[in-house]
Parts: sequence; C-alpha cells; structure tokens
Amino acid sequence: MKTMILLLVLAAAGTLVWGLLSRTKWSEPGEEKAVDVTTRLPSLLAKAKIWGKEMSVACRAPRRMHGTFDEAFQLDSGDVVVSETKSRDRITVHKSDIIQLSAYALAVSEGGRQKVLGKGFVRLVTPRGNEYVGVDLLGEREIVMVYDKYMDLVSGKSKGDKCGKPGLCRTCLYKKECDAMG
Amino acid sequence: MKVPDDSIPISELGEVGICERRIYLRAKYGKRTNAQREQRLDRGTAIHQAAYEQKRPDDRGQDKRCFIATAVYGDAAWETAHLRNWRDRVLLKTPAGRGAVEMYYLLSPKIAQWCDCSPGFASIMRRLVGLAVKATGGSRR
Repeated sequence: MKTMILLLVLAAAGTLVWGLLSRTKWSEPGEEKAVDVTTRLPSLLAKAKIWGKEMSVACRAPRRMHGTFDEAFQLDSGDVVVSETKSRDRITVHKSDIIQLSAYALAVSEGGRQKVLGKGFVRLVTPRGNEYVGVDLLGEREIVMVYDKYMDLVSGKSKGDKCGKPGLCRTCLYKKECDAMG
Repeated sequence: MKVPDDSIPISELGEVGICERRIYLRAKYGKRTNAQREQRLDRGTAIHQAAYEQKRPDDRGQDKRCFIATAVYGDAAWETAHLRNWRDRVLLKTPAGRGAVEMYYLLSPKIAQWCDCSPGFASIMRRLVGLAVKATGGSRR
C-alpha cells in the first residue's frame, strides 16, 4: 500500500515538473471551463446498456403527450430506466422532475410495448459535483390527474394554487398579476 | 415520429409540480422571460449538450479508464484488469482513494501520451506499473 502511494505521488510530482518545464498549455487564456457532466452511475445502472439518448417519444393513451428524454438505460431483465439531466445549485430533486420522468416512462411504455421500471433517475449537475438520484415514479392514474390539471389551467377552467415558495415568488415574472389575484 | 396536434409537451407537464398559478398566468398573458432566465436556459442547454456528447467508456456504462496500464500493457492485459479491479474494490471505497483516482485521471492521459511517443519512457512506466501490480497483490491466474 505504502509503495503504491509513493508511486502515485512520484508520478504526480514528475508530471507536474515535466508540465512546467515543457510549458504545457493547460488551457487558453480566457477560455471558458467546459461543463463537467461526468457522473458515476448508480449500482442499478452499472451493468445496464444505453437504450436511448435524446430520444423523442409520444403517446396517445391515456393522454396525448410528447417529449424528448435525455437518457434511458436497459437492464439485463429488459426493463428500461429513464433518466433526466438537471442543472442545479445543489443536490435536490423537485416534484416537477418526478412528474416529467413518470410521463416519459408512461410514453415509453404505452400499450405495454416496452417494459419500464417504476424507478427513474435524475442526473443532477451541480457546482459541487454530479450525482444520479433515484426516484419512485408516479403511476398512470397520478399522471392522468396531473395532465387534466394542466389542461384546466391552460384553458382557464382553474386558476391554480399559489406555490407559496418565497424564493420562487421573488423571481417570478407573473408576481404582480398573481398578487393581484390574491 | 408524428406528434398529434393536441399533444402537450411533457416538459411543460412537469411545471404543475412547480407552480400551478404560473401555468394559468402564462397561458393568459403569454410567455415572459428576462436576461437571467435566458442565461440559465443557456447553461442548461450547454449541460444537456455535454451530457449528450459524453461518451460512455463502453456501451455498458462501466468505467474502464486505466490509461497508463492500457498504454504500456494493453487494454486486455491481466495487469490492466487487476489495476481496474483494485481501483474499484479498494480506492473508490474511501474519500482519500477517490481523490487519488481523480488526481490520477487528471495526470495519466498525459503520461499515457508520453508512453506512446517515447519507447524509453514507456519501458520505465512499464516497470513502475509492474511494481504497482505486485504491490497491490496482482498475479497472473
């Protein structure tokens, strides 16, 4: 173990000295640091293969919806696991992420054409590191309820509830109108 | 893929989980935006692009990086397999080990590149990696 650490330290020191001596250009001045999206896969997906990337899906039943998911994996059992990438300030999953993932899963599995796992992953890209967070997906009935709620809001049948999150309300572009509604 | 006219985007459906009132007001007054929001959208797009372009080390999503051993022994060598195994079994289990692996990933592509360019350097590295394999209990089975 000690020998290994010594070797690693020697290799690191050697590389740094070599880099300095040969004036290795690590990056161009003013060059923006590329976004690091490297994320260690969770154990469930470690042996899974990529099933689709940026794939468009649509379904007609139980409701008509469409979208493009970021990534989906296929387990050895044949089940597909959907994943969405989100950029956040910290590792946190929102209800909206779960709705979105569940709807993608529903679209992928429409009519039983593809087996989809009842669990999905949100790949969070944050300044402090990236992580796949597993979430339990909503069922078909719950997604239908969300869909119908959305349609009621868009059509004006329902005015919806205030979210009551001060942080969100502070930066909301509809704050004036929302406050006027009470 | 043909999208039905009355189909709704799933990304918008998720907004029900953020703020219902905002969906109602947006439908009534139209979509609004500002510079800060646009900037966040641009960052999100860049991250999605980078995630899309990210190559998995192999199609099964397993991390097989071990640049120096691959450069001096080859990808299929037992020494390379042993070091990958040791990394996953021992190093990645502790924060210090994970730090060492990150450091290694930072430096090793350059060293592997030098191995490709200089047979003398590759020979030295081969001996060093051989010592590392022995020190970590590696042996041909």
